[in-house]
Amino acid sequence: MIETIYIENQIKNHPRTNQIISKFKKKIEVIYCDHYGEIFNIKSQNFRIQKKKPSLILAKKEGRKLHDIPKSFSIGGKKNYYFSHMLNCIYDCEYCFLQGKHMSSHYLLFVNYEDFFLEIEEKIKQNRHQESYFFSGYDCDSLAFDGITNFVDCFIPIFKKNKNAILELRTKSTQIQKILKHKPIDNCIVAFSFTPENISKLIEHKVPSVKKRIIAMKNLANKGWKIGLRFDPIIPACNFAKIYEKLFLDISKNIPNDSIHSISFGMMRFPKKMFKKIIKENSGKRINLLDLENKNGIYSYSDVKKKKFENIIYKKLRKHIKNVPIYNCQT
Amino acid sequence: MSKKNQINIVVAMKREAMPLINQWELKKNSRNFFSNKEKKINLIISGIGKKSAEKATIYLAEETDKNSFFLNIGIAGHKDYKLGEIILVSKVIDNKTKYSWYPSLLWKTKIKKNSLITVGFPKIKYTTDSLYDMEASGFFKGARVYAGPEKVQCIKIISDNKKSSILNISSKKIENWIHTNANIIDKLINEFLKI
Repeated sequence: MIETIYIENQIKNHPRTNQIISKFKKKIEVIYCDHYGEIFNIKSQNFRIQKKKPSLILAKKEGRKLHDIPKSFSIGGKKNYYFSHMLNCIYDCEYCFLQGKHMSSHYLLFVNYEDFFLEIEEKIKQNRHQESYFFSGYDCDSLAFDGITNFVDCFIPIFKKNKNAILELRTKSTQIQKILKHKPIDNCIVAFSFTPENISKLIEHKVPSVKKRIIAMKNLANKGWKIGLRFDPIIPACNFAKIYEKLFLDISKNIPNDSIHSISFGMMRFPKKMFKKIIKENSGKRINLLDLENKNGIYSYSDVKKKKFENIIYKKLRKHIKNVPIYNCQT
Repeated sequence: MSKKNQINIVVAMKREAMPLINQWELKKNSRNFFSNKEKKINLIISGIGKKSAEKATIYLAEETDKNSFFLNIGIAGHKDYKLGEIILVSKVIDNKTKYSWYPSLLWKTKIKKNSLITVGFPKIKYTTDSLYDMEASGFFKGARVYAGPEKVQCIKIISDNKKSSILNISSKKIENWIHTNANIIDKLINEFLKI
């Protein structure tokens, strides 16, 4: 429950700021600041302590809104970009890279969506002879906070009128009500991230159950929305092949293949600096038990393990979900 | 009182400190430095003004455990708040440098929260809705070198408002206001130390 909202002075009269504040019925503490960095970027803060009671920061996103994505992370497109209208997530996954990336676990929301639209449309224009892929959900969960952010209602219309652009909304949530109110469009992929249920229960704190997420996917698929399946990171566990196969089977029983746009998976991987920060702040947590190796500044599984996991994942996916492209997100 | 973490408390005046020294049975270490080792509470009387507060905070930090919590307790003015009302400070602004500090507000408390401006001289007119004091920015400047925003907090008790100016403040009133709020402060400290 959010009790404190920090607001940058420059957007205190922004219509979206007022809309967001009006959604908090309970009395909240509003504190004004000149720049979000005064709170969010302070080095000495403790991500884990703050995570117990994060505040919301409303700010204006300055500078570039779109960032290139390496080709190896694509889902079939050549022009790939990610954008972050929000930093940090309401869930608390023990492996989450955000805890190594940001100083703060407060939710930082950029309210100037219109500036994102301008940059997205400019990029679409630049790439008019080929499809452009736009990924949301790198620095946050695209849908989990939608009740507050109104992200779906604002961003889907941009893609409704730009058929040459594909939007991926990546989520672990079941917040699909707003999407269901829109007429489905072929160029929006609602991509759900999964780990097998027993892993999720243990380390993906506050995340809805696998069962509930499959139901959400099913509802979207039934209405004609394209679904993405994301198994990233792949997490080692007892009965690895068995529990991942069960997950793929449960999904395939509920979601018709022709509703699935793509499948991607990737191994756990962290840049060195990020990994060190995560380890420092999570002593005694399961993340310390993962046997990750440093290879060229990236901490990940050994090549032998990677190969083993990849083979199992490919094999089991192909067994249950046919004719859907599978992408391996490699660093 | 939690035994886990140590808390370092900075107060400006002896009359603000006395009710707290009595409440926690603090023993004198040196002229202005008091502590209770069992309760893990240290208290220093800094003297008035932000420079004194900063110096005393640094002294306390250097003398005590690395993982300590820092708390500034003292009196402050506000245009409307009632005399004796306790406030948890949500933002501290140094009136001269305009630098701001934002203590993390992680605790469930019914205590009113507000921002505070540290000024160089006592404030007669209250031009904003913030509290006014003379030490907090110095305290934050010193303490934040040693601890993050979760571990540096400030509690103020209203000593003057537009109906009752600073000229009406007396030593007895200060002691009384702090004494009246000592239990609330004690509970809040217990919450602080849970992190």
